[in-house]
Amino acid sequence: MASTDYAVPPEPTAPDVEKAAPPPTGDAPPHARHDYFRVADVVLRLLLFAAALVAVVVMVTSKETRTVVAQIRFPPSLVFESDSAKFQDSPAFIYFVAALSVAGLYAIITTLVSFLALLKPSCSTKLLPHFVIFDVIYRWDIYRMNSGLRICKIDHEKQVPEIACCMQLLLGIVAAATGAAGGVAYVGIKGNSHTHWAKVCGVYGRFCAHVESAIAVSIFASILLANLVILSVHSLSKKIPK
Amino acid sequence: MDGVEGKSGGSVREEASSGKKSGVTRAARSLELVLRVVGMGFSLVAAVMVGVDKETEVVAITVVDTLPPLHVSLTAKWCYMSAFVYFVVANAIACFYAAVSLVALSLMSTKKTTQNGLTLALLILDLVMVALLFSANGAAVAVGLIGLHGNSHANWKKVCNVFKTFCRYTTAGFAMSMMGSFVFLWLVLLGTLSLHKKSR
Repeated sequence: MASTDYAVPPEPTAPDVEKAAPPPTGDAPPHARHDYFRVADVVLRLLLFAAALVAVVVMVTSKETRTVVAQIRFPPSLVFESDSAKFQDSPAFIYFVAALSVAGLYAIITTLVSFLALLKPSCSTKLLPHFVIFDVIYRWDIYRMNSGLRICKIDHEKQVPEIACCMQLLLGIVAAATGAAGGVAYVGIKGNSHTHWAKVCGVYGRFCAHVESAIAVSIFASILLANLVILSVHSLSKKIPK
Repeated sequence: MDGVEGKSGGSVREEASSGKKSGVTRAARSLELVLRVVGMGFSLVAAVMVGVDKETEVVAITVVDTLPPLHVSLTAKWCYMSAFVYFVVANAIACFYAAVSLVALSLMSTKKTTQNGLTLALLILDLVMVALLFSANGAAVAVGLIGLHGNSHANWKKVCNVFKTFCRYTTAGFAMSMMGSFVFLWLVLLGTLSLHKKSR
């Protein structure tokens, strides 16, 4: 009856197993929610950049030249006049191109920043120029608290107020551009009998088609901007402790 | 001893911060109410100014050089221009919305419930109003500029040299509406800021 002196293999003790189990399940849902907002943010900004770019390009390439033959009675002759319609003819369209270019520039910058914040959730020093740009325009107490040394502790959601401010202003600018171009295009399509403004689109069909599609795309861009602001507000409100 | 002191100090600090927080919230809420009243006023004034504006002028039109000019009386009204119609309608909607939100806020503030749903809905509607007002402003100002300067490329003649009073009134209306749309923008900023403070 030899004593069995087997080396008992060390079994994992129960407390160790319990300690190992909770942390992964506890961390998963908040990260998933954060990632959902961040991914949606990046996607929306990219779409906004695409829409702004398309609108600007379509409006800029809308030049149409037409040769008009005019018959003069005395002396009897034919005169060939070439007249062109381009977007520079109306100040509203010039403002449209300018405003949508600004929107596209803002969109591409914030897409890159949001993408970087998505990749590196803990620390993103690239946020600093972002804050610097917005500090020139807005000076909020929250910015002063979040600036400089504490930059690494900022997650994406904390820069929401600054971005939200700029996004609303940009929404106003893009909506004004859409409205202005839409108003002038409407007069060009339908004319105005009371002020005797003749309709232009009967003659310059291709120009009008370009302008109309650019305005439609900019309506889509303003809807995207509104969705972006609502998304950031929603992500803020989710964090409110109840 | 130290633990007790620390606890009492902590509770005093908590009370002070919560007092400051509720003070800030009360200030923010009263500012929001004031902004809504101001926004309602601006959009109402703008809509009324452009809507009531009417001018009749006798214009001499020469059809043919040989005949004497015809004197035609022309009227300038807001409803003759679709951009102005959009402007008046948008400002009326904004004014109505400001009034309704004022009533809703003042009713809700008497109850002691958390107003998260209402605040969020009002914020989103404020944003929609900002976009609507800005686009109406842009359209009206663009068409007004055509009326002021004319457009040589499209052969659209300027109108404001004839209808001076009409143009002056509509310009004042556009200025009022511009200020009203900035008030709505401030409302959205205020709402976002207060949400941010609540979420810390």
